[in-house]
Amino acid sequence: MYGDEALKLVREAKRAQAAAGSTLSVYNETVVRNVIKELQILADEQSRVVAVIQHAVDEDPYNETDDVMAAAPAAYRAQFLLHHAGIERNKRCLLAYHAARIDKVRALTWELGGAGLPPDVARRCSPAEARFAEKYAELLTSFKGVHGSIDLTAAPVPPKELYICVRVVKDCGEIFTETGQSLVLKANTQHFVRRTDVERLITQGYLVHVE
Amino acid sequence: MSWTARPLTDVDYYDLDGILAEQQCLPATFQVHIPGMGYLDGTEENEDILEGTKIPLPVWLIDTLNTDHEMLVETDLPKALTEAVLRHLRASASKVNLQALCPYYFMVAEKLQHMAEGTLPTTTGDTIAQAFQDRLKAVMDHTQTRLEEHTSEFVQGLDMVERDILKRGQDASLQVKRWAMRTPARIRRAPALGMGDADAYGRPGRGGRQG
Repeated sequence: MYGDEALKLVREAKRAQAAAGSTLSVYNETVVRNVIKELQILADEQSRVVAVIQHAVDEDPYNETDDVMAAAPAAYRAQFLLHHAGIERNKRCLLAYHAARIDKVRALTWELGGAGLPPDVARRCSPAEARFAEKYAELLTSFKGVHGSIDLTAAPVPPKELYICVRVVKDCGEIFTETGQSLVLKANTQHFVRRTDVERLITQGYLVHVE
Repeated sequence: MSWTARPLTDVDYYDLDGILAEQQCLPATFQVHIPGMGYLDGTEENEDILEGTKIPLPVWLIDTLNTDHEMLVETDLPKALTEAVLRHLRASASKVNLQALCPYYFMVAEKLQHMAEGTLPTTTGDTIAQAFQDRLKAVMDHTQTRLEEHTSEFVQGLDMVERDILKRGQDASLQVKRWAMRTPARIRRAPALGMGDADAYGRPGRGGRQG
């Protein structure tokens, strides 16, 4: 049946959405190419069908209408519609697959606060998606800049205290706090710091907020 | 059944579930002879489709073949919507395994209800709507526990819409628990980073939700 290949893409996108901690699956270049090939075959067939229909209608001495489809014999109309349906279905599946992935890239960029995608996710993108991710991150960052005093991508969690305790998971090197002091964040060390200085690092996974 | 086309909105077009639901096949009888398209029956046996040929066709294909102007195929109800199944639903809705009958049971039923306007018995819609309500009570009960997720026969029998409701209910339930334990104040590592590394205390990664 037409569109069986394309359906694989839709199933894959659906699985990726449903998976816990949902992230991006590897861009399925092979199947996408196959779907495009099927589309090409259908389109070529369709041109042939259209030519046959036009010819049949032109040759028909009893035809008085300009409505080619209405004047064509039912069998040709059926062929046309079958190919048309196949083309539309493949197109829809392709678009939905790519749209779902792009939505995911957008969501990830917001979650990570305008930083680019982490390398293991970027690796799973197609070149076009990676370019989009880069540009979108830039766009988000400049959008955030417009509202300078409010961090639009900060954790939407009302703070309970000014200072929090954090443990370092991944080495961050030296950071500068809002008050101008410097802090060395070496792996496995624990610090009592101002919340606003380290929120971003917690969401990005470098630190862990300890109770 | 008669057939009425309905234009897709943007939201529907990209909906992955909508695409998968339309893959459901209906028994279809061709009303015209179509040369050269015999391969649609999935075999190599027939060159042409003859008038009266019966082939199960997906809903998306039937949608294009049947228009307000003409019906190129006559369709029948799928097995999932026959009187036998409906009787079962009236008797004990929660015991019916909808996943096995049709993973997108309610979406398909709704589509057919619209498409076959007037030719489906009115009781069909009522029965299915009632069954949904009855099953919903049991689904909501299950949202209070996570334990039975993979083992319960009832949960295995839920269709995709019901599963989505179950998952959302379980997530909501978890959020309430977290709120009660005052954990919302804790900043979390972005879910986008996935289940990844163990945290600083060596506990396995839990890409938890913020807040």
